[in-house]
Amino acid sequence: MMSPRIRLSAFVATFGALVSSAAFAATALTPGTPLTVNFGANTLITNAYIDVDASAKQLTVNMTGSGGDVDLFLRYGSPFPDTANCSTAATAPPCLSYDMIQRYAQYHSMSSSSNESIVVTNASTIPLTAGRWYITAINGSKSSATATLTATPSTTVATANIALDFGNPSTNSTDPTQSCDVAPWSDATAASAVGGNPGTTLGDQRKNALQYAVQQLAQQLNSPVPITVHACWAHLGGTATRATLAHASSTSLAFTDTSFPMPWLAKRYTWYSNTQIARMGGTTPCGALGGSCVGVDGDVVEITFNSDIGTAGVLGGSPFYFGYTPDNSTNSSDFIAIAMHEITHGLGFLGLANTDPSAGPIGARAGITKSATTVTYQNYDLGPWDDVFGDSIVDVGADMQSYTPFFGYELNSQPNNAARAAAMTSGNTVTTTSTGTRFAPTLLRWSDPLAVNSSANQATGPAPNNFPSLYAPCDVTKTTACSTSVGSTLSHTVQQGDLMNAFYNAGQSRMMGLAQPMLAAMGWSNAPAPAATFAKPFTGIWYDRAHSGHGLDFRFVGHDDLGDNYFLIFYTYDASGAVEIFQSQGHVVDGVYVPAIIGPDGSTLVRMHYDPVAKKATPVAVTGGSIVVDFNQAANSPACRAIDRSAEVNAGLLLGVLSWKFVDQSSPPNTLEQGDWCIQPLTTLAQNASPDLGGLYYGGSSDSGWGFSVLDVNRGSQGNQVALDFYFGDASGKPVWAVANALPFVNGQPIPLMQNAAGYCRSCTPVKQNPVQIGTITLNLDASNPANDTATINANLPGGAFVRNNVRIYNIGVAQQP
Amino acid sequence: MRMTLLFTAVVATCASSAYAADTPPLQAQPLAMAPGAGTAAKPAFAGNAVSSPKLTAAIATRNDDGTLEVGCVEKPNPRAGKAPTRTPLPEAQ
Repeated sequence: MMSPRIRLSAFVATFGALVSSAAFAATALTPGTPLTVNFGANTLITNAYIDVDASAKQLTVNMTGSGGDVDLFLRYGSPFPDTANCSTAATAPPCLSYDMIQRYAQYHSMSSSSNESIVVTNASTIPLTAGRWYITAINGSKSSATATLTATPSTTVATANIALDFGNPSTNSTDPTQSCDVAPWSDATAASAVGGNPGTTLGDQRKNALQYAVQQLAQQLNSPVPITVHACWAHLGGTATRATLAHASSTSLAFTDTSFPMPWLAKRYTWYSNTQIARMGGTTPCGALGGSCVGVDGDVVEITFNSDIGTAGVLGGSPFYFGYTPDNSTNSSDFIAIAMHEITHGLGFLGLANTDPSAGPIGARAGITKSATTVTYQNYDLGPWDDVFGDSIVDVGADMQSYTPFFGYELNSQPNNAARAAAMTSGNTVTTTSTGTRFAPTLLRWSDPLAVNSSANQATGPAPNNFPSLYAPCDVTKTTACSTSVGSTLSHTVQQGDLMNAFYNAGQSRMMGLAQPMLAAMGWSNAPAPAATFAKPFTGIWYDRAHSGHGLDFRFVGHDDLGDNYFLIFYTYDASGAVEIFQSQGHVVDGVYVPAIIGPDGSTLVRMHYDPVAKKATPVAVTGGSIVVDFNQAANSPACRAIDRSAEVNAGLLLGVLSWKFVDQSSPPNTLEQGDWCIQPLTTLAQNASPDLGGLYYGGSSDSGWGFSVLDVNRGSQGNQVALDFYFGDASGKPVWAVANALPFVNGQPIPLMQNAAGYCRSCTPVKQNPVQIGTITLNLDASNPANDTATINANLPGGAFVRNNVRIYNIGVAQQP
Repeated sequence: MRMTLLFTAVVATCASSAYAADTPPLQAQPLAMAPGAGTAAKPAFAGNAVSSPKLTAAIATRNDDGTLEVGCVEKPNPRAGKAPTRTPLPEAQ
C-alpha cells in the first residue's frame, strides 16, 4: 500500500501543487545581534527565528535598512512557508507571495520605508510566550535594499512616551478651522509662572502644559508603544458666550477582515482607532496600515486648540489656565484637563454609533463607500461594522436587572438602531450643581469587568446597577430643556469628577479615572494576556445559505510544520449558470485557510483543464483567482449578518467568511468578480457514521484529474447516508461537478448522479435548482480494507461521456485532524 | 523617545557593521508576483483606513455671572468625507 504522502503527491500531480512538509530553512538570531541581509528587488528571507524563554516579558524586533521597502512579519510557534515548501509539480519556485506571508503573520510592520519595528509583550493579544518566534522580511519593492534585523527579548516591559509633534503646520484657506498653526507654541509674549508651570513665555507655558498633559496620560497608560500627537492651533472663533476650546480625533480608523489581516486586533470586523491598532500591534500606525511614517504621517492623534481663546470678543476674554495644579477657578479653562480629555478621545475613547441625525439613523453603525475613504451611516457599500467602544456597552432594562448588548447580533437592516437611540437618550434627569449640570445614571452602561471592578467605579449594587453609566441626555439633538447643556451622547462617563465626564469640573484632577480601565478593555491593557485561541474548522462540505447550490468541499489531508493541510474545491456556477469548479490547496493557520500558490499566474484559486486522453488535469495558464477563508469571529462579519443567522449563532455552529476573487492580468489588476460569503458546515463531525467512509477519493496517479468527496452521515434507524460530490471533466476539458445521494447507502448499488441543469452565477439572485440525472455511480467501500475500494461511473454529458468500470479508488482525505 | 529610537538605530548600525565583518550577509530569495502585480510584489493597499466620522470638541459656555461651563461634544469630522487625515498612501510601485 502506498504511504499517505506518496498517495497525496500523486493526487497533487493531478490537481496542482500541494504544500509539503519538507524541512524548512531557518536562521537563528542571536538576541540583540543584528543580522545583515541583502535584498534584491522582490525578495524575502523566511524563518529567521529567536528563541524566547519564560522570563521574557517583551520581544522587540527591529529592521533598519536603506533602499527598497523591507517589511517585517512575525509569528509564534510554527514557521512561515518557505521555498522548501514549494511544489515543483505545477509551478517552479518562487512560490511565496507577499499576500501569503502577510496572512501567516501574527504581527506585521509594513510601512513604505525599510525601517520597521514590532514590540510584543506578555500583554499583547497574541502574547509573548516562551518558545520560537519566526520572522520573515520581504522587500516588496522593485529596488534593492540592505537591512539589519535585530530581535531582542527583555525581562521587563519598557514604557514609552506620548510624543508631541509641534511642527508640520498646514493652511486650509477655505476652512481656517482645519488649519494647523504652530506659531502659538513659540509665542514670545512674557508670562508669569502659574500653578507650577515654569514657562516665562506664553509659548513655553502652552508647550509645557501640553507636555505635562501627555506625560500624565503616558504614566497612567504605561504603554510600551510610543505614539505621537500632532499639536495645532487654529482660529476656531467663538462669541462672548460660547466657544470651542479645542477639538481632537485620531487620524484614522480601520478594521481587520479577510481583505487586510491584522490578527493582533482582538475583534475582527470591528472599528478601531489607529492608536489602538498601533498599541495592540506593537508598531507604528504606518507599520500596521502601510504608508509613510515621516513627519505628520506618523502622528496618530491631532488636537487643535482655539487661538481665539483669551481675546476680548470670545468668552469675555476668559483665558486658558496653563498651571500644572488643577484649576479651581470657574472663570478660566483648564488647558491640561481639556487636553487630557480630548487626547483620550483620540486614543480610542469614542463610540462610533451615529449621534448626528443629519448623517443617518441615530444609533446606526458605520460603514464605508466602495472607495473605502468615506465613512457613512447610510447607503454604505461595505459594512457596517461594530466599533470596539460600543462592544463594551449594554442597554440596561428599565427594571435595572436585565441588559442587552448595545450592538449584539443583528442584521444589516439594523433593527436595533431604535433601541440604541433609546439607550443613548435614557438619562433624562438633570441636576444643576455648583460645577455644572449633571445627569442621573442612565440605561446606557459600560459592562466590561475591568471598569466595573475598578476602584475608579462609583456605581454600586448588583449587576447591572454597578455598571458605570455613560452620558445619555434625553434628547440627542439637544433641543429640549433636558439637554440644553452641551455635552455629547455615548462617549462620556457620568460620574462626578471623572476625566471623561461630559462636563469639565472645576478643580478637575489629572487622574484618568474610569478611562484607564475602559481603555484597557479596548487594547490598552498591560495585564498578562491568556494564550490566543483560534477557530478550528473541520473537513466537510461548507456552504452559504444565501448562495445555496455553490459551496466548498473542504478536505483535511494531513498535518505538517505549517499547520493543518487542506484541499479545497470551490464548486460553483459560471456566468451562464453551468456547473464549474476551482481548486485550491493550503493550510489552516490560526483559524484562517491560507492558500498556496498553485497557478502559473500566481493564482491560489485555480481552474484546471482535464485531458481525457492523458487522464490527468493541469492548471490553466491564467485564472487570476484567489481565495481565503477566515473561520474566526465570522458571525460578526457583514457577510454573515447579511441574512438572519441567529439560529446558527445561537447553536454555536462554526461559521466562516469565504472571500474569493478573480482578477485580470492588468497592472494593477482589475477585479472581475469577488465575493465575501458566510459559510457553514452541511454536517458536523459528530454526525458522521462509524466507521466513517467519508473522505476524498480519486483514481490514482495513472488515472487522475477526477475524483469525488464523500460525507458518510449516521441517520440512525434509516441507516447511513452517503452524500457525494463528483468532480470530473466535460468533453471540452472543463472541470464540472455532479452530486449523488444515497440513504441508506448500500455497497454495489447504483446511485443516481444529479447535475443542476440551470444554476445561477456567483453574483446572481438564487434560483430554484433544476437537477437532472446524468448517470450513475456505484461504490464499493470497505472501511476495514481500503484496498478493496472501487467505483463504477457512467456520466453522460453533451459531446461525450465519462465512464469508469470498477476502478480502484484511493481515499486521501482524513476524517479529522488530530 | 524619538531620540532613544534614533540612538538605538545608531547602535544597531554600528553593531551590524561589526557583525557583518564576521558573517556574510544573507541573500534574500525571490518572491512570487501576484496576478497583475506589476513590477513590485508589495500590493498597493490602504489597510482599510478611513478618517474618523467624528471628532470631539470641548465647548465653553459663559454664564451671566462670568463663570464658564465646559462640556465635550461629538461633532462630524469635516475631514470624514475625504481621504484619511493621515492617508496610508498606496505603496510606491
